[in-house]
Amino acid sequence: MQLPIYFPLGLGALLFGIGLWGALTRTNAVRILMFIELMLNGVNLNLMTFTRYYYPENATGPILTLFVMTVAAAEASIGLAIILQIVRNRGTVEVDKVDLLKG
Amino acid sequence: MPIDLSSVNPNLLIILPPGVLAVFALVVLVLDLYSQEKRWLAGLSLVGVLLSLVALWFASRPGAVPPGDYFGRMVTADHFTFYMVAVLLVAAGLVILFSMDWVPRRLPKVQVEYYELVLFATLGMMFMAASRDVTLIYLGLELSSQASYILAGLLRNDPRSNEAALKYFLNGALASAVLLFGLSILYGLTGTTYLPEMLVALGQAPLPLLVTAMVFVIAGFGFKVAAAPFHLWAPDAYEGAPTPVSGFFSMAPKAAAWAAVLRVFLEGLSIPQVMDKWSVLYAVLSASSMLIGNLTALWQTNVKRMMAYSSVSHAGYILVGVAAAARAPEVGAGAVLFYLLSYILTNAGIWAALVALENQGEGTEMADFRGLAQRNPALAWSLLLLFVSLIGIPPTVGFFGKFFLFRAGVQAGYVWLAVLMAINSAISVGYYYAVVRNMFFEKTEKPRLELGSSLQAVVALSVLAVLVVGLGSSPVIQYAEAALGLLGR
Repeated sequence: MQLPIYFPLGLGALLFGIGLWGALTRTNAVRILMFIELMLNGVNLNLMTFTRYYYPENATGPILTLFVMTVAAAEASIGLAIILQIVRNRGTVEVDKVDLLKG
Repeated sequence: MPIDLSSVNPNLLIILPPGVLAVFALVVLVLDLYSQEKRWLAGLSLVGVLLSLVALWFASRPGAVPPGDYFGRMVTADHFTFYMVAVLLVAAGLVILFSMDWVPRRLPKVQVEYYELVLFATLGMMFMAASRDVTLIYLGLELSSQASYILAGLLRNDPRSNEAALKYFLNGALASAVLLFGLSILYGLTGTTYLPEMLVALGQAPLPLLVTAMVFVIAGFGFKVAAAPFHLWAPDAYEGAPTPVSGFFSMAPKAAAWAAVLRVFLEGLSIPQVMDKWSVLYAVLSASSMLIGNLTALWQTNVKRMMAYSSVSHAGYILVGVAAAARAPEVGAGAVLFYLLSYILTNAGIWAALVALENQGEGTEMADFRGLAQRNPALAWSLLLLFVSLIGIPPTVGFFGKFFLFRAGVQAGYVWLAVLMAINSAISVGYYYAVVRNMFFEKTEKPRLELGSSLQAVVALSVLAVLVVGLGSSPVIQYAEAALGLLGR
């Protein structure tokens, strides 16, 4: 018996929701990055669920999922490089302490 | 001598402009390893952009590439693609030109990386504008965004640049995720990522889910184009990023994001049930962007930051055209396309002036503009003309851009929005005048401001274009309005 589609879709939405909540409320840059990755996993779960349940003969969903994963990896490496530079110059990863620019 | 292109595979021709750019980007990357002198590599990047424009001219000639989709429906050949790719290449060329003196001074160790990243970002944007498959639009968006994050942080030892990169990165990554979530729902509803097929399949989709997806997509793109209330990253990113990079941000990535917005909403989400909804949402975003952008810009003392808020307000003006495009597609989208060109041409000269100030070791505060009319009268008068264009006073290109947006708004029944745009243009006089007052009515002891030949070229091109494209706007707007007619609707 197949799981009703609401379960995986709900899990995807939940992952995305937790990610969005975390990304908007946390102040640690690394943590925000992790929450954003969680959002992307929710997206991927969505895409794969739709493909599996509705469009099993369709290749575009899995392809987009693969691209999202690849891009997320590139994004994480760039993000960590930027955060590393902040840590070197300012000694903090807290976003609310990085506040030279205001107005 | 006419060149016969009929025997050339159109797949190759349509991919030629980005292909040329990619080849040059890679060649420059390799030559960087073997070359001590870096300045000529900047010239080589510029040659790449120009050759890419030539390739585009070949591909866009009538009959060279029949309108349609190529490369497995990934790349589209139509007027819209040709127009936007040309605009983006012009923007990239101007950016490379006004960075040539700045980069060796401020980024001596990563000179070639700078041009490299500009080229790759432009490549991503070209695909964004050229595709009507959301997979490629997303990939192009990411290529251009990620290159931009690095560009923002290129001044590695400057904490302000680090901060700009961090804020731009976190907001950009969040926006991508939000956008993707909306796209994933759209894929679920339709089973395709190809926009015209999506349009057909959307008819049977349940409306609540469709509207949810639409809201996510609007929010995601809203971040990318810095429309209020999603604009909070923009002032920080513009102020902290290296000055030519901020200029690049205000010109190219936004134009590409607008192209993607038009594609996704006019080709994918243009069924009547949702059209009215996104039209109203965009009208609200437009009003808030204009008001917040303009009113906050009045209080700024840093010109880079002021230009950031100014770009938020200009995003608001452009949104008038996007909202209008739901009801009058040709006129609305044509006005948006024309405005993108006019904004890029105008902004190039202003950012070139900011770069010139930094080249002489000065800052970009309002006070640094004091007495500019004494120090370099030609530049001061050019800037005056460019500000006049940003405000939208005839006979400059900015006036015609605003006029077309206004006309589109009125035709689509958004009279209140069009009036609000006119009021906001009047408010914007306030902060542009602050710069002009400093330039003309303040005295200074500082020496003459020298521009250097490449910066002079950018300012001259910008001023010329503002006048020529303004007075000769009718062929451009006709082309821009026809661009949408060929979208295959």
